Amino acid sequence: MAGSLELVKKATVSSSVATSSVTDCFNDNYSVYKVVARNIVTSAEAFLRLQFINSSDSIITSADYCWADLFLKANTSYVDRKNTNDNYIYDFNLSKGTISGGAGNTVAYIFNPTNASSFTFLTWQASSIYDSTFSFGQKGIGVLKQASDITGMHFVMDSSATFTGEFIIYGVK
Amino acid sequence: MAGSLIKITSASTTSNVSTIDIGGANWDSSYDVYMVKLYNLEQSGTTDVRLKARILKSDNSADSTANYDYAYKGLRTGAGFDNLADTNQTEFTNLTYLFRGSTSYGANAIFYLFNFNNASEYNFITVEGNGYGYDGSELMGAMGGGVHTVAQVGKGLQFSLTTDSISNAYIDLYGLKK
Repeated sequence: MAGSLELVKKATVSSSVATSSVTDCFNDNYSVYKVVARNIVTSAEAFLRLQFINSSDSIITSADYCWADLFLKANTSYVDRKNTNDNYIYDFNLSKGTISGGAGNTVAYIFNPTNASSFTFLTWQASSIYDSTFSFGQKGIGVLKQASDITGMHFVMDSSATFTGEFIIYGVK
Repeated sequence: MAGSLIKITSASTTSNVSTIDIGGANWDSSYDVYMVKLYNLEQSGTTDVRLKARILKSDNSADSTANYDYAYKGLRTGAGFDNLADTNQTEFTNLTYLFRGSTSYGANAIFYLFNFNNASEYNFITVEGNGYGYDGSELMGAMGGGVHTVAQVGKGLQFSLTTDSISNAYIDLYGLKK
């Protein structure tokens, strides 16, 4: 029997860059996608921020991103983080690739990206290392408050950092 | 190579219903773990509501006994996060949030179901979901887990809302191949 988790696109960022786009990874064949961002190796402890790309191939940079996530820290209290009008899903991943073996990872579900009558929603979970050797997790929710046809993703490091990694996009049929 | 996430059945509505079931008579007991995908959930009214669910029993009816325990983190953008926990309830509530009935808003969630075919074990679930528009402009969602503390076979979920009817929803049930 055919499976219902179908690989749509795999994009590898092998040379360290400050930004990278994954285009044409969402289409009308699926309403829900699973996105795996793995082996994120950053040049400093920094956030990998997410923006969406619309069907005109324009990166949406307006302050229409709304997100909230819980930082689960192994050595101290958990932290609530949130923003109602941001230019990114800021906390899509936080990694400290300068630690050997410290590559970060995120798994997200994206809802309704190509439905131009609906906002684009996401949930995500992440695991990485911070502050030397402490385990660190994230559980997050987000929305792009635009009823737009979204076809891709754009990743932007903060803190002038760069990154390598791999993005794997599946359609959940 | 064949995939390992196998679609079992779907349910949807585009008109008002008080409940909607996924599984039941269409349940396939071949799997140990299941995934439920819920998207474009909308309600009939304009109040802020929450999504609830009950376990479908072996006779395909919803179990309303007070045996539902759950603990979620309620993530939100307008205030500090909530601890949503309770025991011995008659349903899983607070599964995610749904606001104002706008077609541009709506709610979405992913669930995993564990031990539903084992009559000697409790039924466990995890949830991650969100909805936009609380009080007009707040994003809220829930992440966590729950258990129905009755050792019995489960055959899916029955969804409902705290108030209002479900006016739109698309739900798919998958089995994770052994």
